[in-house]
Amino acid sequence: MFGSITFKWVTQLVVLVSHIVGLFIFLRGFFPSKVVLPGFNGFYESRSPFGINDKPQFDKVIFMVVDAMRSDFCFSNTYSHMTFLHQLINDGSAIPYTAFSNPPTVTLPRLKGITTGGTPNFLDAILNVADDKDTSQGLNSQDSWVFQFKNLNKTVNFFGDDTWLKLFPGSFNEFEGTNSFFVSDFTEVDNNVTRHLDTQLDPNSAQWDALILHYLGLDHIGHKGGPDSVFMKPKLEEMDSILARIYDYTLIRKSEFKEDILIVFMGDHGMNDIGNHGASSPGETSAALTFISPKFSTNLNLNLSSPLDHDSDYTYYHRINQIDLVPTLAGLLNFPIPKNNLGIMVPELLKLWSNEKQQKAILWENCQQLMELFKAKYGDNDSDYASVWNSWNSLQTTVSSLDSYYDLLYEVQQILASSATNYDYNDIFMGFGIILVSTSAALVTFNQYFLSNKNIPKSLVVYFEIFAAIYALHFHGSSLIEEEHQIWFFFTIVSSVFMLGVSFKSFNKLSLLYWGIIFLGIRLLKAWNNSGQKYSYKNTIGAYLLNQDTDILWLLIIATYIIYSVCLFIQGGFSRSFEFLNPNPNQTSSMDVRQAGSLISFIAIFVTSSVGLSFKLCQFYNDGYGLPKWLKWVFFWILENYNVSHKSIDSADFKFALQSINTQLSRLSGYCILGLLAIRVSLGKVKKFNIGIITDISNIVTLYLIQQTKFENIPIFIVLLGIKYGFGQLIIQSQSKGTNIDQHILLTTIFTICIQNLTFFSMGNTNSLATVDLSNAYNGILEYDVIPVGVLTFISNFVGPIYWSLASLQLIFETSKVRFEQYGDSKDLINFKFLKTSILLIKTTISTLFYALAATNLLGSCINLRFHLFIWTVFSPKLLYFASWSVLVNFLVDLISASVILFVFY
Amino acid sequence: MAKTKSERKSVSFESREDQGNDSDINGEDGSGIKKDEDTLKKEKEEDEAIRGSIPKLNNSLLTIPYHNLLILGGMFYYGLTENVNEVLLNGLFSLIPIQIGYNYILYNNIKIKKKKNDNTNVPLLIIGSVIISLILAFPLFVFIILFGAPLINYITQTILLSFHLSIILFNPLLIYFKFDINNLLVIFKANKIYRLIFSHSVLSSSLAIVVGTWLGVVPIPLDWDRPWQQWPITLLAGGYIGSVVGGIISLVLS
Repeated sequence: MFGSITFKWVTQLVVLVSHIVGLFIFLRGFFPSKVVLPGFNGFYESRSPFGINDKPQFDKVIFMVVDAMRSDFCFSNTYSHMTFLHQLINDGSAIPYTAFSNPPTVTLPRLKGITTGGTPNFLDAILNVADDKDTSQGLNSQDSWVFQFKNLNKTVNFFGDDTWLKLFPGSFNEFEGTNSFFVSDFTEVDNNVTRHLDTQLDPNSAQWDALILHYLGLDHIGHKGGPDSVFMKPKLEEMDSILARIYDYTLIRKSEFKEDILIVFMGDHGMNDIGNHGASSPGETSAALTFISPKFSTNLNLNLSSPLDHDSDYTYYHRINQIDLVPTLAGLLNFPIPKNNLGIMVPELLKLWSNEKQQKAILWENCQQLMELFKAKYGDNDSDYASVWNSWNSLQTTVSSLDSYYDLLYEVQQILASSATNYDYNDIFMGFGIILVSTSAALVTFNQYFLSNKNIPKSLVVYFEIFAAIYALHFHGSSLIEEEHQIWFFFTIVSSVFMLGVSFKSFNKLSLLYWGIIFLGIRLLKAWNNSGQKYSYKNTIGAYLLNQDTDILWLLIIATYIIYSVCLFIQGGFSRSFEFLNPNPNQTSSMDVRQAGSLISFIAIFVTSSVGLSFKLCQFYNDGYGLPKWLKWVFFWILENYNVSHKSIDSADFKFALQSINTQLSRLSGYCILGLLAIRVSLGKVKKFNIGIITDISNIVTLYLIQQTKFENIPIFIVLLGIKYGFGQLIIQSQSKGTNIDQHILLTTIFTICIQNLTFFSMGNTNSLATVDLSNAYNGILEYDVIPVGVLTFISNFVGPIYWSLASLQLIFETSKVRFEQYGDSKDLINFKFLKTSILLIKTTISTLFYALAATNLLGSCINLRFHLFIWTVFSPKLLYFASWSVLVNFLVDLISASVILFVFY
Repeated sequence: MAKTKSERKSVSFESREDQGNDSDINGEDGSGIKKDEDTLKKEKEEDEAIRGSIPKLNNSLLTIPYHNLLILGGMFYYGLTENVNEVLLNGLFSLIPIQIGYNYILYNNIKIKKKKNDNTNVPLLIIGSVIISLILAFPLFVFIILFGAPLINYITQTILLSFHLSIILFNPLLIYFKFDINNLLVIFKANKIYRLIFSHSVLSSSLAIVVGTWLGVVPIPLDWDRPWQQWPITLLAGGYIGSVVGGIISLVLS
């Protein structure tokens, strides 16, 4: 019974499922929802401590957020071109700060932070990516300064990034959201905000008490061209001129209506050296924050000068926390401090209240609010925090200096901010326990099979186990996780050399040529994109193709489409499956397009590839790149087919028309590919023609994968084909020397795991959330819907792993087809039907061991380092990436899809 | 070739079918692995023949390239971490004369099988080997690039690295085999290749240089931020240290 294949399958599935269940339980404990106090705050004392003769310091506020405004863009003499802002700082009307933006440095969690004053829940970062129109993220039920200000019967108008509308549905009187959908648009997105200023800043009408503006253009420039982009200077000047316009408006209102208007000019986060954000490097966490009002120059005398010399730490002027903005606004505009605020009243602005007694009352209000939160979290007699309670009691009983108030505030803020989430240890240890058990089981099943099997060289088995163990151990070092692509390059090379030297033992000239192809391919993969989080290189093939030489880029993209179309036509059995249509079916040459069947299959493939290529062409233009001259006529031809004249190319309608063409083309291409797949599978079923079906499916799916790939990465598919071909040739050579099936599967699986990961990283992915690519996540989608966007995001980021998962089936089952042999398929393993289940079982056993060992170490490392500085920035994103690898790649693609292909389609 | 393959497979698969559909899918049933004594004996004879064609040394202790440690230490002493390119270049100029001296020691330690035929032009051999290893630096450079060295950002360093490695790796081998490349390639046909390599000091030293250089990349991505972590210092150190360690390993094993 124990030897039966059913039993082994059941064991393996139990191991796999318990692995996944354990992982999920762990994640549930590791990312719990955070403690949020419900309800809205009132003043702690009977009357507000903020008012001066019951009047607030400021009547109105203009809140201008510039996405990704890093501190040096505002204040440094090398980067900043904002002369008006510098002038304001010099004459004392502006109080500048470098504000620490709490990671994850993406817009949604940051907006939550700067409105509620809380620190973000890590899951907010993912929701920023995944949940675009989900209103469950709204802050209607959470206390924020927007709510508090509205509560004073004030009107709030909003223009800019529509994330605000998701956060505060129904809160704004007048509003227009712009979508950050098209990262390549630098101008429209900001003009859409600025055009409202004509009416909003009309000095003779008062339509609002708070005006919130959120500009996205700067962030888009960063994503596309980095902080040194040529578009940066004009954009900063544009922002500066808008600031000047707003400031002039406040001066007019002041002189004519005696209104005090506060301007807050800030970035929600910064950006790193290549213009991305999401992680915790100094550049990403150092946002600019400036309070501006003519009142400051008369009431405060700070004597600051601007611009300053460039600072490599991005620290200019005082450093504060971005969330300190919240109690400061509460004070200046006179409303209760929001309930979940962790911020502290900014010391410089406290001086606006001249009376020291009132200053203390304000800080006392801040203390009470923070201590309430502290009490909710730790109870009121936790001995670990005795010092907090001591100073709290002494503040209540004795007369203390302002500094002692600040000491308490800073201490409490630090404690609360450092433990933004409470771990659920029950879940964490239960998940870890389940993973441990399933890993032990995976070790036993793997070793029991491979070590009891005398036909496999022990060296290969031991090599694999050492490799999996070393890989698993890397999770204990944060810099190794950040630079994981180096590990994969190293391991791919080591594994290849090991196979060459020990397993294939093939040193003849031909096989050295194939090894040359493989090594060259791997080296090209490494040079294609910048990966990793520590260094950024500008000299990459991808960057060169995209930014310097679009002619070659498009030649290569067209070549990729042609090569894979030809592969589909000649490599597998696609054209042969149409043979029944030929008038003379016995004729051997099925590639002859004069035959009816071949002609039809040729046309089908040609149409599909052409539609795919047309889509990519439109998308390229739509994303703001210049098309090569020699391709323009194709583009215009496509436009004419959709009844859009290219003469209207500069009009605003054109953009929307192009948008809709894009969506239609992308859908059409998807349907064509689906059609090819359906035809091939149904012909296989009906006509019982299964030769080369795995190769066909692989090639058809590749056409879709190409569509979901970034432009500069599309030529990578040519490289991948070369590597696949070289490896297929070597497998055949080694088989002829007596490699048996188990060894064949083990070799292919090791190679697949290595190259899957290498391709993933070589396409520019990293273990940071900052590089999740969304540029192809909306292909063919009009309305945001979480499921299709989620699926497309997964596919477009995991193109490499999916490609190699299918390729590994090809390499194992249809080796002769990988070598482009038309009729040499009789020896392929796919012909031995009874072997399919056991081969898939062995493949699963191998990969399960790999993922199980990795999971044990990653989880162990997360438990061990749960109070580490990098836990939210390095380990947590890696956990999420690993969960995608383990569940989606290993289980869903490598196992479930493979089973469907092998047992349903075949 | 294809025919034998198909035969072998079909035979094994038929035997599988007879046993019914259970789990074990070994392609071959035992016979291929349990080598009978004849083949073992044959393999042993083959290895002996190869072993015979490889020269032997009089004194393995003397021929360990100790001077490599000196060069490496010297380069660190003269500020390798501050000024990589210049020190590497100067190191190369110091390495070559010392290497010529080492070549002489190595040559004199090779056991000469047939004295009569030995009419080697020793100065030509030694100088030629240095020149050839300098030329071989270019294929080695391509090789290093294929294995992942940076091509654009650190090209000078990589070129200098390949010159250094080429001298310490190829030069002793060229002397050892007196330019006869076939004697070297024959090693790859041996059945117990690693035993063969580790029983010869020069071969084991060469292997250790390759492995040492390779493992030298490991510290680079770590976040210790030390000056010696820059490219290509760790690889160079790995190679140089490997050359001595390899010699000692072979000494200990034999």
